[in-house]
Amino acid sequence: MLSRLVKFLIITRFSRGLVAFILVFLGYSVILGTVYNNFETTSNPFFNYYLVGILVFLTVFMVFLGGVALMKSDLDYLFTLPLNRGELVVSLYLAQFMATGVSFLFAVGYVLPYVSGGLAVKAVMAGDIALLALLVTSLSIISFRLSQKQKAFLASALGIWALLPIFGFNYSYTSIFMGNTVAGTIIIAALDVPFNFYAVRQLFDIEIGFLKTTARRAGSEFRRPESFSGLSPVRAIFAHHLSELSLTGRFGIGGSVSVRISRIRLYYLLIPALFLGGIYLYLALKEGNSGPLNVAMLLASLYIGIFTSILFAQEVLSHERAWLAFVSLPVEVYWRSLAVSKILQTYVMMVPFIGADIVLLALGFHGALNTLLFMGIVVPLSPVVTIYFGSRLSVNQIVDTEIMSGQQNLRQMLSLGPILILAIMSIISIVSLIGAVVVVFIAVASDCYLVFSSTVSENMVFGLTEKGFV
Amino acid sequence: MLDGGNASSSCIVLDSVKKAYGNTPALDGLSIDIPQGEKFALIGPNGAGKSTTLKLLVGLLRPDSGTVSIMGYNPTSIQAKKLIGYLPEDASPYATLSVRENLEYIGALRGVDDAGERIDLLLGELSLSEYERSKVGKLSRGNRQKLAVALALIHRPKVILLDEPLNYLDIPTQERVVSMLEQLNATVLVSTHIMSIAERLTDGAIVISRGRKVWSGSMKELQAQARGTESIESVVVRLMTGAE
Repeated sequence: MLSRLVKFLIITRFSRGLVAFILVFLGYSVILGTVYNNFETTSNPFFNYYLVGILVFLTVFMVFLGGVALMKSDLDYLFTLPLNRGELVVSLYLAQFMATGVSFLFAVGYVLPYVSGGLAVKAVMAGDIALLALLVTSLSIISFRLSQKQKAFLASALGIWALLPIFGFNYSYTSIFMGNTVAGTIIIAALDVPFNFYAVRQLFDIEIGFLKTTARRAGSEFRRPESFSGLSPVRAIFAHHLSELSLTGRFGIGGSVSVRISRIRLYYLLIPALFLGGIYLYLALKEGNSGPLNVAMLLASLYIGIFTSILFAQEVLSHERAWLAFVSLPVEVYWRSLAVSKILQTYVMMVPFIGADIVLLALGFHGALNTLLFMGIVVPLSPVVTIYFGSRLSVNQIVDTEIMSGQQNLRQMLSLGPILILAIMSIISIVSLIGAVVVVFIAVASDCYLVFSSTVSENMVFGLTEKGFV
Repeated sequence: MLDGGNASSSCIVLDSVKKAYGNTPALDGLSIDIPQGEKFALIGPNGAGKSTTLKLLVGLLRPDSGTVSIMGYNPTSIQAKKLIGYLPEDASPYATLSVRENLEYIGALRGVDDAGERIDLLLGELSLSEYERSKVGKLSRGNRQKLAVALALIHRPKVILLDEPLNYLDIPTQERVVSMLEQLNATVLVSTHIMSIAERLTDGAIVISRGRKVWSGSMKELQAQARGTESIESVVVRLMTGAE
């Protein structure tokens, strides 16, 4: 019965295409990790920073945007069946692992080849990665019931702790990537036990948690009302998008289907942006003006590009109401104003990084010009392309709040293409200044076409409506 | 489609309109002509093409062939958008805004001069005043529908296109919405498959089935089609299916 239950939970939460993609990528990663051996890492210290960065990103992401891979139909039908509770919990945990922790297992192929030492050392590192995958899974489950403040506290605490090894403090769960395997392994194991115990306990009474969470989220007013009185149409659109960032919880990678609405004042987001900008500046200054600096800039560009694309762009249309917006104003006027306001919103978030690049440039770090062009122009322009791709390829992810992230088919996953394009663009930008200028030109030209062409905006809205957006 | 204003009394016009979603036809040569000031119901079974018709009229869809116009204007034009008030089925206002913020935002987009007074009036008439600061996500389905009605009417539209407008509303609110629509003195097209709603809101009916018009006329003419004690619903079913 357990295997049938696991299979049922997996196929109702993930498309076949995504499962195949995960299995192929995981197999590739394991083969890579076992075939290749003892690569040199000393020439590039940023490889370690890169691994720490991934872990910080995943833990913070899971705490803030995680959620249990649970559907309302589970509550209505599955949980009413006479199933063994233990088997149900195991199945839910495995489905959750598939939605969250498995992404960290991909690291096997990229970490083990660089581990120097015998088989035992590699086995310990592989074990650590598996434990980290379980930790990420448990965090996503635990975050489901936390309030926004609790999430912010936990995410900040874990994120800062994870970054400490970069500054020389070796007692963190990321220490395994900074040469302190023993301490790191002990800390990971020590974290895994209570977090996973608590997560499993939560899965045992998940219905109560689901109802409590839904009830808590359903009972409030916005603390600071916005006002649009007396504004012109375009100013109203700008006022809406430049004062606050709207977030919904459906993009939680676990795929929780309870839609959480929250609004964050845009200037509050400058605090973490300033923090990250400071770390970027610190690392660049610490490691000097050569290859490593370029790697640092590349990594920062990649992370920031991907993060801003996901956070600022992919949810934009799901917040929109075509029957109001595109009926009140000509389609091209509304789309243009919306797109420009999203560009400005992203630009505000990039200000600390742009500032860091200007400081580096003033100090004689010539590579900073490349990243300045990328982070100051290309990244802020990227949401427009992402919104457009989403509108053409992934409409049911935008429309249907009952659908999970993992249920995207391969065509819908193509809507994430701009992130890959952005990653390639960041590499080109770092490698050569001419490349950076070309990338800027491509980004500006694409945005101008997408924003100012009436045909593009009309086709976008007609396509969205045909696929059920209204 | 027409590009400019039309002085004739025709207000809502579809002429030989065809529309398909991929290989699935939705409208198959539909023609409708509703004069200014008239109130008509668009009646048909599920999948008849009612919602598609309304989406074409508000410019959210483009016909594959045929023409669509609102008072002579192309539905995608700014002139047509100023005239139209639209309420889709199961309408959901902006979930990231409160009740009043929704009304202020759409009031601003539509350039309503006296938005503050108009919002207060609509909130009062629809018994939404106590929820004006509430998140839309927190509202009951009925209150969300009231807000959607208010958003469709905030700019005093001359042409009102409604898709199942009385869904989820309690009986007193239904009465108030009917009264508000009468006061606006607008041309109205209401899509519904519930005859009692059609009779309350409109004076005439257009019956469509499989994307084609099968009958049109006044409500009295529709009622006159009844045989003996036949109900109006049975008459409509007979018209839709073509049964004798």
